Amino acid sequence: MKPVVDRLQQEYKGKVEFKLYDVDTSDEGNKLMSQFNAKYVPTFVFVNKDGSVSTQKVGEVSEADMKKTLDALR
Amino acid sequence: MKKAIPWIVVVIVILGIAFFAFKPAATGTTVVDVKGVQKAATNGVRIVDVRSVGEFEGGHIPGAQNVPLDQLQSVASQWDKTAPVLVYCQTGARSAEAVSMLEGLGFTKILHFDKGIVAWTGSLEQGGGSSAAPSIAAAKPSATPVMYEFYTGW
Repeated sequence: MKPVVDRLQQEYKGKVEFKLYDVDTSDEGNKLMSQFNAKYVPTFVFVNKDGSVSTQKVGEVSEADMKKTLDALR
Repeated sequence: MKKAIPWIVVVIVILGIAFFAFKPAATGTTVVDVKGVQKAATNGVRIVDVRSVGEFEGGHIPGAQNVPLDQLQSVASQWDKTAPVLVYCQTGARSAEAVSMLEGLGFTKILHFDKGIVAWTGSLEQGGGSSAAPSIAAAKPSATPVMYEFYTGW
C-alpha cells in the first residue's frame, strides 16, 4: 500500500492531510487506533473537516477506491 | 469357548462406549441457506464477506463485514474462536476456502452460506468496505479533511 499512499499524499497535498502511524512503534498511533475503534492493520480512517468519520477501510484498498473516498471528504 | 462369548460382548460394549465418549468433535461447520443467514444476522452472528473490497462495496448482505480472503488468516486469528462466524462470497468457492481456513484456526462454530450472494434474496447494502464497526466521530475538527493510516512495518 505504501507506494499508493505516497502517491496520493502528493496528489492531495493541501486538500487532505495524511497522518500515517506505524502502530508497532507509535504510542499516539495506538491511542488513535483505539479511539477510532480500529482493530486491524492496515486500517484507513477518513475524517471530514468537522471531525466526523466518513469511512473506515480495512486491508488492501485500490487506488481508485482511495481516490473516490478522498474526493468525497467534506 | 462358551465362557469366552460374554467377554467378547463386554469388550464390544466397552469399545462402543469409548467410541461415542471419545470420538473427535465434529468440525462444527454448518451449511446455511438464506433463512439461516437471516437468523444468524438476527442473532448478532459475525457475518463475513470474503470477496474483494470492490465486490463488497457493490452490494453485500446488510451487517456483513468485509475481510477479503487473502486477509482472513491474519484478521480472523484475532477473533474469538468460540463465537459463531458466518462466511460467504459470490458463489461459494472462496467461502469454502475461508471455511477451511477458519477450521484450521480452530473456530468451532462456522456457518457457511455456500450458495453465495448470487442466491441472496434479501436486500443488499452498498458502500462501506469497512471491516470494523462504524466508528463514532472521534477526531477534532480541522482545517482540512484527514486520512489516517494505521499500519505495521512487517
